[in-house]
Amino acid sequence: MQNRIQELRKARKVTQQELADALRVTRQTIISLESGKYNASLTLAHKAAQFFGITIEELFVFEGDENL
Amino acid sequence: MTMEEYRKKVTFRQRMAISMCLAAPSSTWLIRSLAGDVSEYARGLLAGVLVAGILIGAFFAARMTMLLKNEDKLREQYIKATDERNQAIGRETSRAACLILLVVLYLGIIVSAFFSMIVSLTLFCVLQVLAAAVFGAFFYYKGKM
Repeated sequence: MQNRIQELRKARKVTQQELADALRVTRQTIISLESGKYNASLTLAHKAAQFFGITIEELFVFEGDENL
Repeated sequence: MTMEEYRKKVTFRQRMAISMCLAAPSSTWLIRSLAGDVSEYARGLLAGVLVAGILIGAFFAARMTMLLKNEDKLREQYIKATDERNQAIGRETSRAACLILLVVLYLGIIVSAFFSMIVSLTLFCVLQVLAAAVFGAFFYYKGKM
């Protein structure tokens, strides 16, 4: 699963630490999410989507078997 | 877990650490008086347990007190403790460590059987206890989730 977190974060000029503080996670988690090493839980995905003001589907790109 | 719940948890841990510090000398004295005249080895072991208990207790008590006095540090620790990636790492670590332990114990039972039956049987008992714990935890979480 890919995501647009880094793209949207940079577009809004938000630092990784600021995003981490807003989502109540560590900066390392943001780094892992952006690099695609870690997939967010539904709760974190929801919080991230809320932060950027978009839907989960717009923030996360579901590919192949991840779709019906 | 909310920040307030985490604060209560830290306060509980602080109290436990202080209790551990205070209980170590008295429990050691109690064991020594109940056991009576014990060997040099047992006295050494007891002294080790006493010192370790006090040091570990003091370390955690100091750490928890520092956290409770510094709101920024407490919040930082709260985020670290509730961070879902850290929790996922913890779960994966436990799972991998348990699997490695089972394999090592299994191999240990076979290898030690050539040298000592007592060691082999002891390892076998440890394996049984571990397997029972794994199954117990599995069925507990199966019912919970």
